[in-house]
Amino acid sequence: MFGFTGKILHINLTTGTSKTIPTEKYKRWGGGHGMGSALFWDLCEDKTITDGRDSKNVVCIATSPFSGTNVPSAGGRCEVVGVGVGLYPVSWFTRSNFGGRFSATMKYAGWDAIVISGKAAQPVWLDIRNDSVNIRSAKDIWGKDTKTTQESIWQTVEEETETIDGWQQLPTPKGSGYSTQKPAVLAIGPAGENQVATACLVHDAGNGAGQGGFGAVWGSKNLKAISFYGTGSVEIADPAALVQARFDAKEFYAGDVDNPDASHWGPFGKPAKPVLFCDEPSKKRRTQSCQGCINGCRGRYDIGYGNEVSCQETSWYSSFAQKWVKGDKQKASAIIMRSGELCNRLGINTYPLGEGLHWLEHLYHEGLLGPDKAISSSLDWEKIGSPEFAEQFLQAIATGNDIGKDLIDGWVQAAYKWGREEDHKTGKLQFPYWGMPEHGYDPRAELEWGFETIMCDRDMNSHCFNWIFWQANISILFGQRPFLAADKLAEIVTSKLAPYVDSPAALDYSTPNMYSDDVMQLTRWHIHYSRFWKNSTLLCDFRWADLFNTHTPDSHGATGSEKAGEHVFWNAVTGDTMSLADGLEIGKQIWALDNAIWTLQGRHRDVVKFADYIYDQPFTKGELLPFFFWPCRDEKGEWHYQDVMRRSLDRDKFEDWKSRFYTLEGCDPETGWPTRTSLAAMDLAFVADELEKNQRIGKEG
Amino acid sequence: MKQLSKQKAKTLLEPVPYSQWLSAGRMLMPSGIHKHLLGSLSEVHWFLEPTSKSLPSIDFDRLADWLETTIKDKHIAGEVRHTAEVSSSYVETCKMVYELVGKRISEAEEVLNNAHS
Repeated sequence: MFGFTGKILHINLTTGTSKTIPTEKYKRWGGGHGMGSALFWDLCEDKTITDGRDSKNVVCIATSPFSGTNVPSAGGRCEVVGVGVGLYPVSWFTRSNFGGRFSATMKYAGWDAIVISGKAAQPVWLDIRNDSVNIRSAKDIWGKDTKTTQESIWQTVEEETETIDGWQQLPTPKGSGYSTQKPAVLAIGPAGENQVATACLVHDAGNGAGQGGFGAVWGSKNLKAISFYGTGSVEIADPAALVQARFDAKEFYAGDVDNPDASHWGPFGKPAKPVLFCDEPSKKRRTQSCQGCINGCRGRYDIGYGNEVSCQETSWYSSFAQKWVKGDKQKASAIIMRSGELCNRLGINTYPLGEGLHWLEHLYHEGLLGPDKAISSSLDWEKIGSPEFAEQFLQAIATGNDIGKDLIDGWVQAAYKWGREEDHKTGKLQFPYWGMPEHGYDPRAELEWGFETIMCDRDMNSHCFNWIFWQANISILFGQRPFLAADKLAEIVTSKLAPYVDSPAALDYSTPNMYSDDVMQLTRWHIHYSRFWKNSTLLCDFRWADLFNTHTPDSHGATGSEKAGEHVFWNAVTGDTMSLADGLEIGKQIWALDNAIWTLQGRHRDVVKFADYIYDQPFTKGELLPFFFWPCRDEKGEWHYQDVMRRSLDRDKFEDWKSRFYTLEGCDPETGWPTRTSLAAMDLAFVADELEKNQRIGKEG
Repeated sequence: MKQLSKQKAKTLLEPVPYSQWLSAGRMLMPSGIHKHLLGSLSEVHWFLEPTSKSLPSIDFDRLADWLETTIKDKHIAGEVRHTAEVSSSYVETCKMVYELVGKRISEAEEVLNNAHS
């Protein structure tokens, strides 16, 4: 089993025992999400639970054959699955993902995944050094932030490990292994300990598994941290082919780091630089990346704070801080980076905070929130934007005090508790799907983002097609002709989507085409691609899929290519002979398994719907964006980049879309439940058995 | 252009109540677009200040309407409308409106400073 270690670690916290599961049985799922879903299916005895804090929940942290290798932008990602916390109307079986070196170190220690079930009687942390597995008391680190927790564990492991000439010596089945590295630790902070819906898992400085509320899941299990320390390696089937593919990826698809091309289109060739919603806090920095990545997206600075704070962590407080310091960008940057770092230390998922805080600010100004108001809060709301307010607010969220008390179960849940359900329905609280905020890519405009999210379990956060929005709109914003004409782009992109898509029409998001079979097939391709190639083999979302890439003569990206396509790396690592489409087929099976779990949790197609405002109100021009250009065909069939704002979704048409989608996925369109025939065809008859036992099997068509 | 009165200059520089804040956004590839509410002329100014990190996201028709009805400055509203119409691109409009708003703020500040001296 090249690429795999062959062992999965199962920890039962209730009994305080561990056992080894052979990976062989789960190899068919690839790794990551697929492997995690299958392990959840086998090990979770009650799949009807809808709150991840239930002690019956099973959470799986899984690597892939790519973990710990030099597959570009894949070696350091790690997937987390289980029933989540804070989603709405119920918390589905869901997923999260983070980077760094945790998955690689787990592999070097000899494990493909770790599964946690049960609940410890007292706080514990897991100390795994190669084959040695210990469940240890977390008495001394419970209550500590994620940074202090990791430092404490590093120190403990170092003190307990014999060092020879600077090398730490660890026992292995074959004798001794040596390392100069620190253990890789994944931990929760106070937010997780207090089982707050927005609690996340944090590794090193800025790698967080945010969505899904898995910090709260760990907190409910009294699990403070998992530490892996390993001295092994990953056995590669064809090392020469892997190295050649990596060289080819660089030669044919990557950018020139010495001469970055700002006009380049495509995710693969982007230059390495921190992704920040504010000015860099210092010009003296170096770019930091996950293990094996070709384009780092975080920074480490010479100023002692803000290290690896990036992306969403820098956006949630950005507008408030800039308002507070009246536009002084350096002062704003200091507030933003420090508040982002505090989120990481407290273990808070920043994704819902930005939109959520705008809503709370609205409630405050409406006189509904504050001291002695209907929604009681003694925070100093007049100082919103200040560093002091950020500290107060984040502490309240993490500890479940003040305003955090009502937010413990989720943001939309708080709206209903406060009698503000109208805010959810009208979009005053812009949380359009599953109790989560939109990503800036409104479902009324960027169709695949919304459709995929609602047919799954959380904000998709999968940018394959979203790069089109950015590349086209930035060209137009700068008054330039888009590098690729709309018809050319549609042709290139859709040529990558076989066997689902056979027409460029799949990329036509014009209003007459938005519910078409073509757009649906693009959506299905993307769900299946993401389920396998991103969430299971663990290719990084920021770099894959590479559908278009202007570094190549024909502007075709690396995806599916015979030089550096996803399957080329897979086959080099594992020795398989898989195609890109074979992976999509596994992605389809993973979605089917996930849908079976959602079905057991109580999902019916009737709950698969957006917040009302997505249907009732047009996407207002200028509300956030001046325009949202996307490739579209006009009445004559000619392609243009067209503004797709000012429209809403049509309930009836979307319901019809869902019926056709469920049918194509082998589900009963009346309920959205999987049918026995379709499950059996995917070698999932055992799933059909359990659905039937629970009287939730779909009717055959 | 007519000289600003002291009262008018004062009004232009005052923040407006929350209920009248203008909704805009800031965009960063590929992270997303995030809400940014604007509550004064000076906020519009620094919001539009060019930076290499991200782009302001604002509809200039809505901005012009807001400047006219909320900030009550027909002059700058007209200039923004004209600029949006004649400029070569959105980013160019951002830069030009940034300059225009900055100039208007300076005029208002000068009137107030002269009144105090």
